[in-house]
Amino acid sequence: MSYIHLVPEWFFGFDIAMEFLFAFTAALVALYSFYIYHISQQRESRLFGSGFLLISISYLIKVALNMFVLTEIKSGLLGISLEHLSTVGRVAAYANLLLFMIGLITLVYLTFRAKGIRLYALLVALALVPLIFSTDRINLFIIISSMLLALLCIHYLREYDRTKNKRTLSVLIAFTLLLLSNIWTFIAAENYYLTFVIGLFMELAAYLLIMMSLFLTIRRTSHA
Amino acid sequence: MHKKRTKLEVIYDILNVIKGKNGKIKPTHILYKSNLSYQMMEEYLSELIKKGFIREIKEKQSKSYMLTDKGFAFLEKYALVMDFTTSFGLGEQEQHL
Repeated sequence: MSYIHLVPEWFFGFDIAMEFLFAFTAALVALYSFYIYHISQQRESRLFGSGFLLISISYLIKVALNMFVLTEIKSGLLGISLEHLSTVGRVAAYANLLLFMIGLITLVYLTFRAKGIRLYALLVALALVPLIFSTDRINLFIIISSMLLALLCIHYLREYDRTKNKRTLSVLIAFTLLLLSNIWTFIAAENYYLTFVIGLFMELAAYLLIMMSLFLTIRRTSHA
Repeated sequence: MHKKRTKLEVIYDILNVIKGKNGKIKPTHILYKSNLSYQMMEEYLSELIKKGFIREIKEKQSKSYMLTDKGFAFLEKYALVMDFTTSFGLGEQEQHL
């Protein structure tokens, strides 16, 4: 059985605050990307904004779900699995996974030279169909999202190699941290609170780096 | 060695060339100044019209291109756009559209 909520009692509330921050950061990136799209009509900016918007919404759903779980979780209970949730909770949990996955797929898709709705639909189908039919959705989600994050890391490594831009390096490190936090959570399996919390802090570092890159970009051009 | 431009840089160069001619220019002038092949120039001009950055003006025996408000706004905010796309790895190399 895979758990979707594995927070120790001493960390209750902090995880929700952190995930809200992740949602806020992703929303900021999305908003600014759409602003850049408005000026440049550049397809990549629109896709980037859409990807981060989906990720932001997925985190907001997770925040709502975790707040629900917080009221249900009893002391001593190790975690919540999908089977524990009511129908509404399960729909929210799946929506969280699907939106996050589609958000990542959108970001990966924009890194490809090949374009077209068929390619995008194929990527979405290849990721989501196994997820829908799997009996171990959480672990499969972690595996597929790790692969997508790895592709993004490779893209940003190439971009940094090409541009030598420090903010690109920050974004590369951020996605690498997201990948490591994903793998870390997977390795942590079902019984280790502390490793789950460490994974969350890695995610926090990643989103802080993304936020820093965004603010430095906005600040630099406003001073220019 | 000439570094390959990103798509955004090419768009900027074309719009800048048009701006340099008081916002209105004939295609041959764009070809000389933009360092593009004729085919690529035609592709980029079509895209710029589609995006609303320029407008095609058909005159008696020729045509010319005019910069729109959107095109002027792009030139004004170009540094912002370039910084964001470079930082977040959204730049795309010059290529056929």
